[in-house]
Amino acid sequence: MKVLFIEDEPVLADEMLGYFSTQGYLCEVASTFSGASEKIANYAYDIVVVDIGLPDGSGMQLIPSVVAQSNETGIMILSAKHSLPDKLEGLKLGADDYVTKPFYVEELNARLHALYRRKTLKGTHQIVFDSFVVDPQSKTLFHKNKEISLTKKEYQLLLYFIVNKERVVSKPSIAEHVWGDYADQLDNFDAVYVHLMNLRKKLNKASGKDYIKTVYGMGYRFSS
Amino acid sequence: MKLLTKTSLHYLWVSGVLLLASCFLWFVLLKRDISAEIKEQLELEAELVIHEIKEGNPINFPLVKIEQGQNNAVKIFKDTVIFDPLQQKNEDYYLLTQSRIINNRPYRITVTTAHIGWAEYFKAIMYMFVILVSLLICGGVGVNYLISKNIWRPFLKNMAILKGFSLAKNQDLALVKSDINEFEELNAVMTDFVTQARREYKSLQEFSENASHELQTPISIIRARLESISQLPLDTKAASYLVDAKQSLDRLSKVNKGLLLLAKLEHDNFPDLQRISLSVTVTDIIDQFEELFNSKRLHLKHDIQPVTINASPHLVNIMVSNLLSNMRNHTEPGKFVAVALSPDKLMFVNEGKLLTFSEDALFTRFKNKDAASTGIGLGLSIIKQICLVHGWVINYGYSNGRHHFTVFLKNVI
Repeated sequence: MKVLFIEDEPVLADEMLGYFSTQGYLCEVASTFSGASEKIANYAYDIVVVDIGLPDGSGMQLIPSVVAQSNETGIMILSAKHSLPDKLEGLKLGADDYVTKPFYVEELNARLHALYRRKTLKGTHQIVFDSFVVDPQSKTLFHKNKEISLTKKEYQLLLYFIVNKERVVSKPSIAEHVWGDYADQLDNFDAVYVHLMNLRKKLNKASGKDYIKTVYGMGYRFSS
Repeated sequence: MKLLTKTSLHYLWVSGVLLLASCFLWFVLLKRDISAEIKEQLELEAELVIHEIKEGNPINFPLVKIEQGQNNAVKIFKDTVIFDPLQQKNEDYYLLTQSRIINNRPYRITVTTAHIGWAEYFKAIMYMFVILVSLLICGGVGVNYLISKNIWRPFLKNMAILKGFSLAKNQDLALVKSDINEFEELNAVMTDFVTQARREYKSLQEFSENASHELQTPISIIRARLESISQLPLDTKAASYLVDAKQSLDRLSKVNKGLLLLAKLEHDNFPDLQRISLSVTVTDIIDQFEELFNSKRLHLKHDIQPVTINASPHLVNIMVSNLLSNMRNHTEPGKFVAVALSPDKLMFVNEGKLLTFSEDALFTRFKNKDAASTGIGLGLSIIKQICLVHGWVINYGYSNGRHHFTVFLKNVI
């Protein structure tokens, strides 16, 4: 998957590049409006991640040129503005998703994967890990062709872990992924824990292997 | 007391005193003049009598008494009372007695004349003044009524406009014009005042919004770096420091988000105002929260009637989830929690102890935190602001050991 990150903040660009390169993405970075325009005009990307506040222009205005270049390219807006009008405008211009800063890279990763599956792979792709198969279209999990029934939240959790495997994922990040905006209302992460333990048990029962490890104080790591 | 009533009262009080004083003055002056005139008349009459005596004519004047041989040389002018046999009552008279030597014989001549009693005079004058005062009162009330109807009307209208005016709403201050200079001046001052206040209010708003925006990027950077550190192998001590830092950052991030939302709510028009089924929205959110309530051994009772409403789904979502989590955070395990939606109101009820702070502070930013609360102290201000945006009213009450938050709805379809 080829991704262009348009981000003027060097640390954030470095973080995204650092993480997504290890995820097997082909990453490129542009830190200015003009640099980004040039890259968009000359190369094709599967996904463009665009920050709205750029030093020499609004990232919003880059969206139409990406759309004009290729319909297949997924567009993800990254904005410091948690603003509904901005979000609506971006989506109207042709963006596919909108993530507000401060964000978790794992969350961005999950969204990019979802976007990639939806736009480039047209949802036909199946996700495989060890002897498990996830079918994103029907939102089901199979182990050796046997369906394992998951609740909606367990499914979301599993996908989040698979996409971010081998990474320590913090509880707030999980909560935000599963509960969205409601995560702000959680005063502790007991609810996260309950779903996690259920998922862990189900995976363990099917395969006899413990995929989800607790990392003391930090969160959880999924490894196959 | 109304200004008109007050000025009228002062006016009446002063005119009463003035009228009373002038009434007395009038009486005294009148009495003096009339007495002088009568005295003059009596003296003239006495002179005529003396003249007649000198001439040796017989005296046949009415009310004249002539005594001979008495002479004490004193001239007396005084009131007297003479019985009137016709009316069978005493009448007031003036009397002048003087002694004179006429043709070498002493005479004492007394002339009298009738006059109206001073008491009568006084009564007549009083009546007149009482009538005058009554007329003045009636006239005053009438004039005041007209004044309040016409002259004060623009002032009162402007008062009503100012009462309904809010800096937060983006409306111009349109005051009613008046032909009274003072009112026009007041209008000009008010308009200036509002313009300036709005400018400062806006800059404050922009400041808080910009400040929050500016904070988002550093928060993002810190979060990204902390998450990266989490990936490294850490000893227990470093890990616990990191956890503390992350928790505080989460809190900071939530506060910042809340402040940003508040700043937006205060001046943005939310573009997604649309027809939504409030019952469906509320039910969805309750479903999301159900397990959170259950994990605290709370059984959320709900009675949701179908309601369709014009509102921003985004904001309604925030409001309902804030109210639910507020309820969850402040209810002890196993206690009563309930939500009820009817076409005119949305009500949240939970069992709990009496507030430890004043109810007024409840909806104020950062003021409503008790020790047990894990919230950021912005939830209820956000809720109130969302209600304001939609023109709803939120009310808090406590009865039978239960907290009640009631949102009175408008724009129900």
